[in-house]
Parts: sequence; structure tokens; C-alpha cells
Amino acid sequence: MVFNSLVFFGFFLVFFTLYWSLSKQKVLFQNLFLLAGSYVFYAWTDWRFLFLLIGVSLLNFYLGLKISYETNEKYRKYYVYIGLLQGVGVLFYFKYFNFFITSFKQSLAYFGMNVNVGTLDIIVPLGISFFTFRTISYLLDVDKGKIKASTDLVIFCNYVSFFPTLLSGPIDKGREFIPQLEKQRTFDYENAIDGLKQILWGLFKKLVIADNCAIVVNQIFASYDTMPSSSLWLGMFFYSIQIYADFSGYSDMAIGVSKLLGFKVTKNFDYPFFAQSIPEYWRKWHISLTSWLTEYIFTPLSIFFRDYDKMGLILAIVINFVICGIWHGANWTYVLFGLIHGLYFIPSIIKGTINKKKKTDLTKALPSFMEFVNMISTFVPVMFTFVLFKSETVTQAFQYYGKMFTKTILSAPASFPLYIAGLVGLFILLEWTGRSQDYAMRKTFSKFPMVFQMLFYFALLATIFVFSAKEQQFIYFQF
Amino acid sequence: MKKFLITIVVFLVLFLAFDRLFLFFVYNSPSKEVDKRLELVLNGKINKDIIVLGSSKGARDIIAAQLEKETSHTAFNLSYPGSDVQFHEFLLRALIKFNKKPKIVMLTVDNPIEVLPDSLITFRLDRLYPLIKYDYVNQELVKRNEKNEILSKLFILHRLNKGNFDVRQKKFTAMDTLFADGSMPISFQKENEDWNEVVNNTTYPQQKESKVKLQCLQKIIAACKQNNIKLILVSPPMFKGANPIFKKRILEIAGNNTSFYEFDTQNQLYKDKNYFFDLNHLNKKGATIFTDEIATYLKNTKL
Repeated sequence: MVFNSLVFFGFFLVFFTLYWSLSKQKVLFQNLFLLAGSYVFYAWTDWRFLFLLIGVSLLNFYLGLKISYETNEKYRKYYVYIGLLQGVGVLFYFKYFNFFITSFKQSLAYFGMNVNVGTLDIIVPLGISFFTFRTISYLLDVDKGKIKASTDLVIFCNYVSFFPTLLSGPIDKGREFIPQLEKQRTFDYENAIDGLKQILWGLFKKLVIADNCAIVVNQIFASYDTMPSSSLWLGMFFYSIQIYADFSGYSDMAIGVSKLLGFKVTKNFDYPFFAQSIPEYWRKWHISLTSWLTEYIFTPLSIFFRDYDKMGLILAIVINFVICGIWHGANWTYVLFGLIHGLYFIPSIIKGTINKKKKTDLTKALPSFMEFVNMISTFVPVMFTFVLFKSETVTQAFQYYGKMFTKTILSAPASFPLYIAGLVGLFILLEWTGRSQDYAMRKTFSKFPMVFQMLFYFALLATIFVFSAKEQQFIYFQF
Repeated sequence: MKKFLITIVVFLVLFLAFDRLFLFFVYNSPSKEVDKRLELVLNGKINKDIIVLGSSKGARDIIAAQLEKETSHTAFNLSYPGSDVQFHEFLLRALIKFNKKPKIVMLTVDNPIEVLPDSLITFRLDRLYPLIKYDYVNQELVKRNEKNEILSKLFILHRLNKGNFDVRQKKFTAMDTLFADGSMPISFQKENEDWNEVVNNTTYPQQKESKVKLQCLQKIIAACKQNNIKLILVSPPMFKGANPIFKKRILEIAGNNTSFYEFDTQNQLYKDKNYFFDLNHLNKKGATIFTDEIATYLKNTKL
């Protein structure tokens, strides 16, 4: 069930009405109903994996309690390891098993050894990377005493399975989300309207921007070997916009739906393409994943390597980003994507500017010359790595890169619908003007009379209806 | 909550009112079109004995008016350049539903890409969108997952496509000048055509065939059989000759009840580039000769 479907609309209409009609009941009823809704939502796609979701929730709930109450340090660690093993094991089995087998066979074949080990016919459960990261962070937080283990099974299961963020995040940490589940939610008009606006903006990003960019991108990537270099540059640019609009659009919808249910969910994007440096880009792109990795991977690693000064930091960053890459999928393209981003950090580590935030005036209509240069010098390297994201193999990605630098770079690109360039231009403009807000159109036109505001929303809806391209699946569903 | 619900209802009511303003584009679009053939089909105005279906090969290589003159059967050309067999199946369905059934349908086949996935020939959605005021067209768009049925019933805007907002009167181009009989012959030759291009006519990638396109061709065959329409698959002349493996494959798909007519491969005129627009299409001179050939075939087979 995806947000931009009529099935979800119908489901949510019924759910929303019943959910708030229970608002005067005990918090337990609200939570029970929320959990039932989450399970229906998840089972809609493939009911078999519901058992996995429930199983994972029960096991981690139990482990959380054990970690919390166990006084023997040794045993306590065992429970943590069991939890980690389960989380990583489930991920490994469903996402990476075949990848490792294939890579192992290929490596042996390289040395002339052929082994007959078969791969498994595995379907990856939707949202597995997201709910697994939630449970891992919960256990680690309980272990470190950052959060008390939840004693309420319904609350914990809701944390793992909260349907707006179940399939593609944002990945909320238990210490931020569980307290919200413990309190009675009350309906807030302003918050609900804000949620609706954010859903509308998310729909625009996904259906109008991402799905239309996909038309050009798919065409270019399908026949990159016969296209002029100029087209390949365009393909790379449009794919960067597509993946951003697709994923941030989904996040906006998830956050908007959460607001309608009275929850505050972690922000996932903060205008990453306007970032002034690579470290800043990663503070703005897929924020919930980056902060998860920073807390549970990078920080322990940098402590582990602290004796090696900057080299240690570089090592920690590179490992962190390789893990980030592989989290996205079982393919060497993602590993390389992560590795390159890790390497991109080296100049700022050497210069000592990794944590420096460049001050920018978010109210200015135009960036200064230096801001513009910084933006471009961040965006272009980032854009290059997205070729790896789109390519099926590393070889294909390198062929694509190779074809980008031929003498046809100066020739006219293959024709594509120009209205798409217009839509992308409008999108970038709206994002730029709204970059001081949580999402670009939050307060757009809010100073205008009501009639104009209405007309703006009508126009946005009309654009969604008219310019919606043929539906493409959300890119991040595969992760 | 009450305030929220009222806001939503008011917004929706106002949006529905706003949405109705776009009816103008729904009803204005057909009048801006220069090719009215599909609308004529939907209005039941194509009541002819012979119908030519196909892509640009059908449109350029067969002149319906000449066919009419030479066979004494009424004829009309419903071929659309760049269209594929899925589109032809849709056209035939609409033709049978809204018009008197034709006696003969001549479907020109694209050798060798008729049932292969190829971006040169597509389902011509751009021909459907100007006619979304017709429910039949909207249903087809829904069937093809281009539109959602419920949304298209609720909102006018959902029916529309960006092309509907172009309120300029469309004009014929030199390439797409449509004659009254629906044919589109071309009097000139394509500039910079490489007449020496090497064409591989020795292989045919059957494993790459599109299941959907195959099914559509089979649906056309079945629909003609069911409605007592004589179906003739026509392979028009190609400067570099036709692919014989494709011909064999088409005969296999067509079965025994469907006729297959291939251009006279012995005719030396089809080896003269002066009769061609490009490697794959005849020009008007060539089309006149080929149409005459077909008319003779029809007379000889007493169809």
C-alpha cells in the first residue's frame, strides 16, 4: 500500500476517523488501534512478512527487558549480542545472502576455482532495513542507558511497526518516538492542516517531479551507449533530482501522515542540494539514517581509532560510509557509492572543517558568489555518485562515466520533453525560496490573502492531476 | 476536529468548482485537432468496406481513394504513423463497436518490429488525449493504467493531459498531410537518407517478442474472425527487401484463416529509390504502384 494510491486513501480515511473517535478513550485503545492499522497496512503488500515483523518485535521487546533488568554485565552483553545478531542476521539473510554467495563464487572463479553453491530464491520484505535499524538502535540505547526498556508490548510493537514510517522511514530512535506513544494524542487543528500541506507537497515531488524525471532518466540510461555525452550529463542531473524528489517526497508524506495522527517524526531532508560542502550535504540528506550511522557506527569507530589522529578519523568515516552504501542494497555499486562518499570527506578532515557549518542567510533571494561556487562544487561530485545508484553493475556505471567525456559533450542532447525541464526549474525555485522552512511550501504565500493561498493549493493539486506521469515505484522501497 | 472537517469539506467543494472550469479544455480539445479520423470512428462515421490499419507504412504506402476506385469497394485509411499493434487493436475494437463492420481489414505489418518492443512504434496516446470527452477513450486510458477510473470520474483535471492546454489550432506538416480518404502519401524524398545502409535481414530475435503485442495481434485476428471480417496482413515494399524470417513468423502467428500479402518482390520498381521516401516507406509514386498491386490482388481473389 503506497501513500499515493486510492487504496491508501480509503484505508487512511477510515483509520483516521476511527482513530480520532477513540481519542477520548485510554491511550491503550489508541495504541491498540494504531498497531492494528499498522499490521493491516503491512500485510496488504505481503501478509507472510507480517509474521516476521511481529516476531522481530516480540524478540526485541523481550531482549530490551532482559538488558534492562539483568544485573550481571556478562549476561547483559549476551542479550545485546543476541539482538544485534538477530538484526544483522535477518538483514543478511534477506538482503545480502545471495550477494555474498555470488561475490564469493566470482572471487573463487577469478583464481580458477569453481564451486557449486546455489543462491536462494528470496523476496526481500518491504521496509526490513528500516525496522531493523529501529530495533538495533533501541537495544543499544537500552544498553547504554539512554532509554528505559519499554514495558508495554503494544507501545514497543507500535514503535517498530508505525505504518507511516514503516516502509521507507524516517528511522526514528526509540528515545524520541516511544515517549510520544506513551502519551494520549489529542487532535490539533494547526498540526493536522500542516500535515495535509506536507502530504500535498510530497505528492507533488513524487508524482510530478520524480515520476516525470524518470521518463527522461530511464530513456537515457537504457540507451546510454548510443546517446551523446551531453545527454548523459542531463541523465545524471535528472536522476539526482528524481531520487531526491522521490525519497524526500515519500518522507514528506510519511511525516505529514504522522502529523495527522498527532506524532512528530524526525525530519529526513533539509535541502541537501543547497549544501555548501560534502559534510554539510550528509547532515541534510537522509538525516535519520545519517544520524543513526553517526551515533552507532561512526562514533564508536572514531573512539576505537582515536589514537591514529586524522588517519583514524578517515578510516572511521570510510567504514561508516561503506556501511551506509551497503545498507542501500546488495550490490557493489552501493559499496562503491559509500566508499566514494567516504573519500569525499578526506579534504575536510585534513583541513579540520568537517564539523564547521558555513553560515548562510536563508532569507536572501540569491546566494553570494562563494555560496554558489560551494553549492555547485558539492552538488556535482554528489551527482556523479548517483550514476552508481542507478546502474545495475559497476561496469555499467564506468561505461556511463566513460561515455560522458567524449567530444559529443558539446553537441545538442537527444530530445526530451521540455516541459520536464520547466517543472524541474520551478521545483528548484520553490525549494530555494522555501529553504528556511521544514518543507518548501510550509509558509509559502502565508502572508497573502486566503483566496491566493487557496488558489496556490488548487494550482498545486491541478499540477499533480495533469502532470502525474505513469506511476513509478518509490526508489527507496527496494532498500 | 469539527473545524478540521469543515475546512476539508469547504476546500473540496471549492476545488470541485475550480475543477469544473477545466471542462472548457475537455470540450475544446477535439476542435483543435487536424486529424479527425479517430473522432469520426467514435461517432460512427467510418462505414466503409475496406479499412487500412497500420503505422506509417499503412498511412504512406496505401492510398485508400485509389483502392476504392480500382476495386469498387469503399475504402478508408486508418493508419497512424508511429503506432503499434496495440493501437491498431484499439482502433479495430472502436471501429467495430461504433460503425458498420467493414468487409476487409488490411493490416500493414512493420517488418520486422511488428511484435518486438521498439520505441519507433507505440500506442499513440497523443491521439486519445484530445478526445477525452468520449467515455470510451477515457475507459481505454484507464485500462492502460494511464488514468484512474474513480479519479477520472470525480475530477475533470484527472482526465486532462498537458496537451489539452494547447489551445492553438493544429496544422498539417509536410510529413503528415492527411487526405480525405485518411491516407498520408508523401510526394518528396527524405533528405540525407543513406540508401547504402546495410540492413540485416538474416536474423529475427523471436525471443525478444513482446507478449502484449503478440496478444494484440491475436486479438485482431480473433475479432476479425468473430465479426466475419476478412483480415489481410500486408507487408509493403522495403528498399532493402523484407526479412524472410519475420515473414515466416508472422505466417505462423496468423494461422490458416488469415491472408498474408507481401509486395511483389520481383517488381524492379521497388529496387528504384525514386519510388521511395526512405528505406522503409514509399513515396506517392511508389504508393500508387503498390496500391494498384493490392487492388489487383483483391480483384483476383474476388474479395
